[in-house]
Amino acid sequence: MTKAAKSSPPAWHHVEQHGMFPDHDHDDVARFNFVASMNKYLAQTLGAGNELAYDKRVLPALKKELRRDPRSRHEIREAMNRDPFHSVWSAAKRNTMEQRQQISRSIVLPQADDLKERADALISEARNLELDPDLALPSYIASVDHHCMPGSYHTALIEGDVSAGANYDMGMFATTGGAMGQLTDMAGRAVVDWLKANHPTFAPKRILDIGCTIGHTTLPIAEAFPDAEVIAIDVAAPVLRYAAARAASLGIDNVRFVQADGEDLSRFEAGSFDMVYTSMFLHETSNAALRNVMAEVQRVLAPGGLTLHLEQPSYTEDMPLYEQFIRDWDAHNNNEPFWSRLHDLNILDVMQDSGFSEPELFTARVAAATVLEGPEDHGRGAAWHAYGAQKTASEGE
Amino acid sequence: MGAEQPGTPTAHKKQLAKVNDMSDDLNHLINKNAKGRRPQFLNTKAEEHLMSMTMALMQELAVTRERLDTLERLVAQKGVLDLPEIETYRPDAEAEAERQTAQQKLIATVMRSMEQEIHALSEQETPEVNQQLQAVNDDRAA
Repeated sequence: MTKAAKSSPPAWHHVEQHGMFPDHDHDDVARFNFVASMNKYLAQTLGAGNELAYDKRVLPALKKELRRDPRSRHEIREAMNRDPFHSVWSAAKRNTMEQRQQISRSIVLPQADDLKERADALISEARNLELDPDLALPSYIASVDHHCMPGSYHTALIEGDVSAGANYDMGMFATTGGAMGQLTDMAGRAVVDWLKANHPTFAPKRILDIGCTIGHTTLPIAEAFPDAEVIAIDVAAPVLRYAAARAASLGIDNVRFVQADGEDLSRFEAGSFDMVYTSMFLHETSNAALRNVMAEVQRVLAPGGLTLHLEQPSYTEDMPLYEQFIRDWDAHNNNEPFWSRLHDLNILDVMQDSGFSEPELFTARVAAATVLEGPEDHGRGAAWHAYGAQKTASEGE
Repeated sequence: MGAEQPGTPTAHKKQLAKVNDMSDDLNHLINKNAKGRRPQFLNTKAEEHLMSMTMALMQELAVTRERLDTLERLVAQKGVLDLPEIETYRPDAEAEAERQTAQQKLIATVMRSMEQEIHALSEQETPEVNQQLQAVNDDRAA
């Protein structure tokens, strides 16, 4: 048997066909195969060219121009954007993001009615879904379609629409080259592994997931703690409807998907959750929203409870400027406008401002068992930087 | 769902129906711009379009090759087709209409970036979005 080329991602047909997965045909699979291969090629084969161009010609010219070393990733970006190799690389990478959207939209939109019917049969408003049609959309969601996703998480094209969720679900296996697993649930599995290794006796009774989208990260955690009541919130109804139907089709019944804003958790009592977590959510919020979310997390977390936030690493002073620049690519080129500012922050400082005390705080590397080999495709591998806190147990307990 | 094997009459019909149901409105919706400023990577807008078209063509070429490969393997496996017949094939009216529609869909896919510029120019969406975004950022920075 011929072995696939080393740089090949798994073919897209390995994605798990759960009960909400959109119908698709031969050429749809082939399109995703192309995008996944192209992404991997851009990251692994051509990615190194960016740093070469920087070292060999961009940095020397920039030093001459500035008569000093560059002082920020922004100076590097402006210079790199004039480089012909980096420009074409960026243009190609941006196009793969846009193509990924076009592919899944061309599959999902023609069957939007069928998907809605499938979802309706699986959703139980009494048990696993609670929508709030009056909830205002936060400006950080309304002002930009995150990662070039037309209509973002929240646009409903028909009454009871789930197409935004289906669209998001379909493409992730291709965008991440399969690194997130057949159910795109690697982040949740990584959290479970981390808890088992670091807090083996931790048995949360009530868990809150903020910014859950389609619940792909929520489900492994709900499965690991089957006796826990899991509440997963998001501001966008179409992804929540899809999430509830998807969870039901996978036989997971201890998650309730609720339309709510993490900045206002007033519906939940203080100290009412043993675990509160987010996964690649903080960088999609504004800095003001982040502070409000953290204050609410601090309030709803029970004494002795754990909070964990999976993110990409912050741009600390010891991170080389070139690495900061390349990690910042999505902020400027993939509709992630808040990414850059978020990564300038020390999230532990924000958590401390929100009422956590310094001894309660920690950082951790949370990684899935199958981390991609080779150069990192920044922000798309199955390893995260986690910011967390364990709230001190109350006196007398 | 998805229980039909590729190649069954139902699956084949369903697939053709999908292609033919692709109305202009639906294509417009599929090719919709994402809200937010699109960076210009290359020297001119024209180069951006050419890049997008090249990428889309590469995608569709890859897709066609994969499909052809499937077909050739199945044909070889089952011994169902005399290969020279392909050279003399002439579609009937129904097949012709289906093939012409598929051509239109292919072109709309490859020409996405031009369609998006038309949408952007006609909707004048971008400046307003950028202002909103700026306002959010200013607000947050304050």
